[in-house]
Amino acid sequence: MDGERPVADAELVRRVLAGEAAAYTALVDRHSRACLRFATRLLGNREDAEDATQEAFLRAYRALGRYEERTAFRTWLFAILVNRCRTALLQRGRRERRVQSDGRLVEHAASPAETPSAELRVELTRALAALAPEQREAFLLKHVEQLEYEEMAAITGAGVSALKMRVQRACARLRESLRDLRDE
Amino acid sequence: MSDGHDGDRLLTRPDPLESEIEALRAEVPLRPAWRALLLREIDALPVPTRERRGPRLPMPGRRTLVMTPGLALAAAVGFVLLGAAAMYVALREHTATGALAVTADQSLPRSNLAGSASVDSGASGSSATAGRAPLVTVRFMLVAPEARRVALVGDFNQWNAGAAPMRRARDGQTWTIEVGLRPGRHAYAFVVDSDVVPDPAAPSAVGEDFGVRSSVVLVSETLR
Repeated sequence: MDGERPVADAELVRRVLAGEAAAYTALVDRHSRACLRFATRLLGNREDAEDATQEAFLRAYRALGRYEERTAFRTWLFAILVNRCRTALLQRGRRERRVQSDGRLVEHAASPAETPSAELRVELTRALAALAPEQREAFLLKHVEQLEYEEMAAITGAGVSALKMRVQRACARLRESLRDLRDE
Repeated sequence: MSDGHDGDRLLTRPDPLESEIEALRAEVPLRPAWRALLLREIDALPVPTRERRGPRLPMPGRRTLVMTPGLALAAAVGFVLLGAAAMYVALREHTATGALAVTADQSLPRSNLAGSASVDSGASGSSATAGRAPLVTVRFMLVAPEARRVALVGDFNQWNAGAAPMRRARDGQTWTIEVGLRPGRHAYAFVVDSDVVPDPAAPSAVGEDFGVRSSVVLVSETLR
């Protein structure tokens, strides 16, 4: 921090590249919570999310010399994180994992499901885990991380139209799941 | 934020789902031990430095190329000739098969990463399950001398990295595997250690199959 204004990400990167390695700690502290949240919601469990986030920060550090300031650091970091998460999903086998993570998530969330809202939350978690990975990824970036489509496109490599379609389908699926629960 | 798209309604209209989304936005607690480990690992790495990209940086005294009409015409003719030559070579290699991505037994550059998918001329695999096209054996190859593990993933094995581990050939650099594929278009990639990479010797299929950069192989029954 300089005075009361937070130091911009780009300035922190410049400091690291100038030899002030400790400046990277500020970047880690600033972005690790969002990264962990995204990875946890996407991968479905905490351990894999921590691994993917850790790997993303390490890779970003090694590649910091190639970072270009015309891209926001968060966008650049999330692009690395998304790739790590995709690789994690591929490595464990998507179909097998979806079932497993579904079970784990529901197990974690199910204990307080005695009120209607808690029950809805369990169902939302279950429905989220059942989404196709690319839909879950787009939904989380849009509605949990609250990014603009242009930034999502830069992160995922997908086109804006494709991302809108994925988010739309994800929302429809989630609404459908919750509606079914309420109708019961 | 909304552009009228249905996917954005969640944030712009009253929606019972919105309150549930709030729960997903809650922070995941950050474990101090995890943070400490991460910072230790970062400390162990060399401090990065700005990469120098000489040609891209504005440099004093840099020469400027003035594009004259004659130069532009020469460049255009050159590009056309190059394109025609490339197309001629590509057509010669693929006319017999009618497929786009298959490069049969052509010699590959020995770079750090070079690959291909080729059809085994002799194998047609388990044929003739009633009503289904026969399997065609396709050999995938990747030159990755520094890799410790390589696997083939694609839509034909649900992108499961454990389903098709590739074998290192005797030369110590080339990884190969043969798989039976139904005729049609297949997207695939290689998992080199922990990285997913497309086949450098095949057309890419960006944005498909979960957005992973992948490659395309077209398998035809006539590919024999």
